[in-house]
Amino acid sequence: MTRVLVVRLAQALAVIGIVVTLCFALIRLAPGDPFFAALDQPGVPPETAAAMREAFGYDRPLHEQYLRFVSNLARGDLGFSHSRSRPVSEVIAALLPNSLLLSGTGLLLGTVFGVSIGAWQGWRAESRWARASDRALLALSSIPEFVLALLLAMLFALELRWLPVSGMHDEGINGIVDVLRHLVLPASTLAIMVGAILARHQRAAMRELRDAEFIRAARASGIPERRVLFRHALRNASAPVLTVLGVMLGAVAGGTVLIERVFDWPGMGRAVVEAVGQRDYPLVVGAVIVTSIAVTLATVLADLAVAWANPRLRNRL
Amino acid sequence: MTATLAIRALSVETTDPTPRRLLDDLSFTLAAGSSVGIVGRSGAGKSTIGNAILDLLPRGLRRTPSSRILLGDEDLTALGAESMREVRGRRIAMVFQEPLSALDPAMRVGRQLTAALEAHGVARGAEATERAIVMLDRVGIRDAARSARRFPHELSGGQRQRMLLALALMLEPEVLIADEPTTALDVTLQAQLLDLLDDLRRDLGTTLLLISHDLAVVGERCERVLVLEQGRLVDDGPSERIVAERSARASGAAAVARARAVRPTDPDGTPPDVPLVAADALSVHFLTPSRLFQRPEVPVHAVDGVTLAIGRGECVGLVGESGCGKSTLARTLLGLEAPSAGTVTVLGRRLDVQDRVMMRALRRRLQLVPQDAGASLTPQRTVRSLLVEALEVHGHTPGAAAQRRAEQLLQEVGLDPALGARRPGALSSGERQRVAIARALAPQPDLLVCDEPVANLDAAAREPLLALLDRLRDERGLALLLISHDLGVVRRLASRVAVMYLGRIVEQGNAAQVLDAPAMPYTQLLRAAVPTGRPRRSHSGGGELPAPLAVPAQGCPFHPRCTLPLKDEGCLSERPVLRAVSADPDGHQVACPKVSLPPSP
Amino acid sequence: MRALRLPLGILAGFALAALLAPLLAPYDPIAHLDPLGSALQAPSAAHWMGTDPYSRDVLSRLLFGARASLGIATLAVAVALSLGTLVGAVAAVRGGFIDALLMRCTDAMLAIPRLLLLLLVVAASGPLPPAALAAVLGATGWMSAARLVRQETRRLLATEHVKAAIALGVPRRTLWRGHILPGLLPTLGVAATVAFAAALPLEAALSFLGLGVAPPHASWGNIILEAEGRLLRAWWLVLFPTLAIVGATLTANLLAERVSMRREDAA
Repeated sequence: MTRVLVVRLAQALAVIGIVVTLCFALIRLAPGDPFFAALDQPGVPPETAAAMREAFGYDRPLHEQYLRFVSNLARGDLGFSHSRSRPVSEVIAALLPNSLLLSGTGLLLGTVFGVSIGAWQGWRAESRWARASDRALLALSSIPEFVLALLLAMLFALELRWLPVSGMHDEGINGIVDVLRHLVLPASTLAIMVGAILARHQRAAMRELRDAEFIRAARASGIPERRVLFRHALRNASAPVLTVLGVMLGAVAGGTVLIERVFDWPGMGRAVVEAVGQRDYPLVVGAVIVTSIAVTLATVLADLAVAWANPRLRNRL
Repeated sequence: MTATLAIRALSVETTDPTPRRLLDDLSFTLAAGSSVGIVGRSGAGKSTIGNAILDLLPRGLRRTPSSRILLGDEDLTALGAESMREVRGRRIAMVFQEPLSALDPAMRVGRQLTAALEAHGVARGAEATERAIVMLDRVGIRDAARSARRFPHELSGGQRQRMLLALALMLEPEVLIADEPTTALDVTLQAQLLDLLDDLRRDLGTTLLLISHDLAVVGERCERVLVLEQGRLVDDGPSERIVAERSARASGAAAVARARAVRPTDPDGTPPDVPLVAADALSVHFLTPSRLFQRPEVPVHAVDGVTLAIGRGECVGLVGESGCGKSTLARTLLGLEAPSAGTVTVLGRRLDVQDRVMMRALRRRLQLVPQDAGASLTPQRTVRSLLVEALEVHGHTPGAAAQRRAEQLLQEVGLDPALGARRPGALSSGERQRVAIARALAPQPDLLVCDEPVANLDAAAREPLLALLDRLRDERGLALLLISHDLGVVRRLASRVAVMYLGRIVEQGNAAQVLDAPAMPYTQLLRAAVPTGRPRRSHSGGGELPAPLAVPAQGCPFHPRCTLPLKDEGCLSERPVLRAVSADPDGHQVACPKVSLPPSP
Repeated sequence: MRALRLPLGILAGFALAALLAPLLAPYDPIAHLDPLGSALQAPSAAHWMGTDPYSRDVLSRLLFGARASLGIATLAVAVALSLGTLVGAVAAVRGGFIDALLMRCTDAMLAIPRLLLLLLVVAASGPLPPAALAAVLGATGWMSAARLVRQETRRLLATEHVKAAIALGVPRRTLWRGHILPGLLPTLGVAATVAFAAALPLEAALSFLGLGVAPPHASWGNIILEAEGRLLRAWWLVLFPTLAIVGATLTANLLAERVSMRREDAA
């Protein structure tokens, strides 16, 4: 297991290096430079613009800029957000917990929902309900998350008025219950998206395992049915499902951006969308890098979980 | 306390609206402590019997209501789910066919054993662990306490099969159903496992139902044999009678085929003067792949100093356990693998893997029918297009001429040319094997290397295929290099035999000499392991093929498994070389300084 | 083949509607018909799917939007599949260092959430014309195709039939065309449908964020954007484009599922 962890962490580091380089390249390929939008306005005197460029090193050769970019990043300096007039790291530090609360809750709910319903569908694949619900989940997993968010908002917030439609707090109220009330719709949207996809993989895995020889062998030695299901089938199904979960993490992060936008959730995703509109490069780049690092580290965790679930993978990497 | 298991009017059918019967009205009785075998071809419904008895039929199959399964006085078909569960494993246990798929890959083997104990409330906790380790030890798994903490994939094939046996016998059941328990194994391992099964069964007084496609295996281990054909019992009697009758029928067909064959080589099995293919002091080494955090590369000697010649029209057999280097030797003779040392000569010209022009020309003369020949046919292509492609690659005129030649090839291997329009998936495994042979014949080669040509075939489909190979050798003067772990197959076709152990030839000579009166203890071990269908008197020799990295660095590679009374210190220090043991210098050779030729039989 | 007929038929229907949009659409999709009189009208005989805040006919916009949305998604799939097949096949054939390098790059691309990567590109380049948008969608969506193709190619290269063809001395072109590609086709089919089912909602999402197909041109995503702030009053602006997006995505998912079922049966 230690070997898996070391190898995976080394790979994750390489991946993060490539991500950082890619971000730098994308920004430098763009017309102008990060100050383009802010400085090349008619009202700004050219001398001021040049002085600003010099101060931030944008007049230096590319490789020097790259080194500076990387070393700043290593020190946690993500640059300055023009639109918010604060360092990017401060903006992100303030918003990241909100995003993690939303995506974490959504992932957790979605996994519980997906794994349990998928396991039932796979184990009882002949039942009419299992088949019908599988078709329903296929349809559900085909609804883009922002559309699903809009539909849920229309139904539960606007039509039925059970839940708040936007934000994280009602004005003047501060309390955990209030936050949870606001969390229900966005987190459910994410949970449905995650759960529908996971359930379909869980179902496929369970269907295959149901006919596995070792399941029959366990029954043949008199292992009780509950134990066959939990200790043999579910345990072995968790490896492919955890793999899918690991691959899905990027999509979850993307889905969170859209869901935050629809429900006006004060997280990083909403900030990024606004920053793109204002061409606030440092904030966009900072958010992309932080999110990618989070996704990469979460993927390492998922890989470790897969290695736990499938001992055959522990020595083969 | 053992009870009689009686099967009464057992029928199994599909649950479709139009039921199809897989088992039809089977009735037989297993007396307490007896051993009964069931033989039948694949698809005869053999495996369904075990599953039907334990009520573990796959979805889509069910027992008909009139079926009765009586264990003592109890009718198992009348039991509820929970009572039936208590019968499984405790009173009737089962050994499955594929050890790797029958063990939970994500659970340590010891845990799988203790789970069975706990499920029946026999023992739990430390006591269960203790009993599991005792059981592992009893089935001959070395270092049982440590092996118990392993996962199934960390055990060797033989150990896994032993583990399955441990799992089945853990609760000392009254009846044991063994479904093809050794089909996946080498003959030597098969014999060891069956010996072990016999011993344990006798100790525990267990009733045995042994299911197999191989009459020789069943006849050897059981008192009574039932013959199953298309879901019906067609014969039932003492194993001596069934084995005698059925083998007479089979060998009759073989004798007719053999009578037509005239062996072109002289009876001594002397290699002809100018060999078609010759290997001289040939060695092939592989490096084990090095990986991060692992020890550096160690060369594995797949082939180690082999000298062997094959003459025109001759059939040479190459035998040994899997992993002994047979296939690597063959691939090197074909120029598909580069030798690390020594030379391969084809028709007097030395093979040079670098010289592409020569390799192309020579490769045509030597063709391979690979081990899993059916899988060597691209599934999306028709048989005809594959044959035409092979012809064109070897420079045959393309177009209609190649099409006609392809049909001729199909006829030559005894297939209807109309099969050319089908894809490999639509053929039987015997037909696919023939297509692979036809493809190998496309460039009109001088030598055909057949790697386990009948290992994937049912017993019934084997003889016609062997007869085909013999006919091709006879009519076309085609030389054959026959690789097999099945001594019977080699004895049937080969005039000369070489026995390989860990990359070296340890005995070679005339097929009759080597196989009927082997001098080397290793060859004797192989021979003793072959199931004969007659009840076994003594145990076959023990030991598993060591892992390539665990081969003794010096001395005789075989000494850890050697049973020769003459074994001494010299065996630990000196590598034996091949030496002649008969007067004829080209005759019988062995790689052991101790043995002498046994008196002629 | 029969199982594929239904989803393929539906997709063909979508494509036909997109191609024939100029003939089928009852109104000009861009013209503000009557900004004062007929803005935000519910579905009626004159406007089957209602009108948007600028009094444009939603049905006409939906038909022309199909051209943008389906066209961009299809082009993106072509780009993604070409890139992915190239990367996957090269990685599988070369192995060793090249394989490791290509796969780490694939991992890196997968680690950046695709939507965020697209946002970064749009932030750097400004609004993109449809063809460029398709190219960018493809360039950020080749990874799963690369992984699938690499895995399948490696499997095929190790099969007995490919080894037998190599041993037979089949020329390299014939080897790929006659022995490897036929086995790879179902995988390419799966990769294409999966890529389509991912690209279509992404384009819709970008257009919904106002960063995809630029108004006044219609795309399924930006029709929904017009409903912002008046979700209940203008439900038709959400419902009909949603049905179109979900319908096309669902069909593609169904196709992917059936193609991969056939692939497993064949293997």
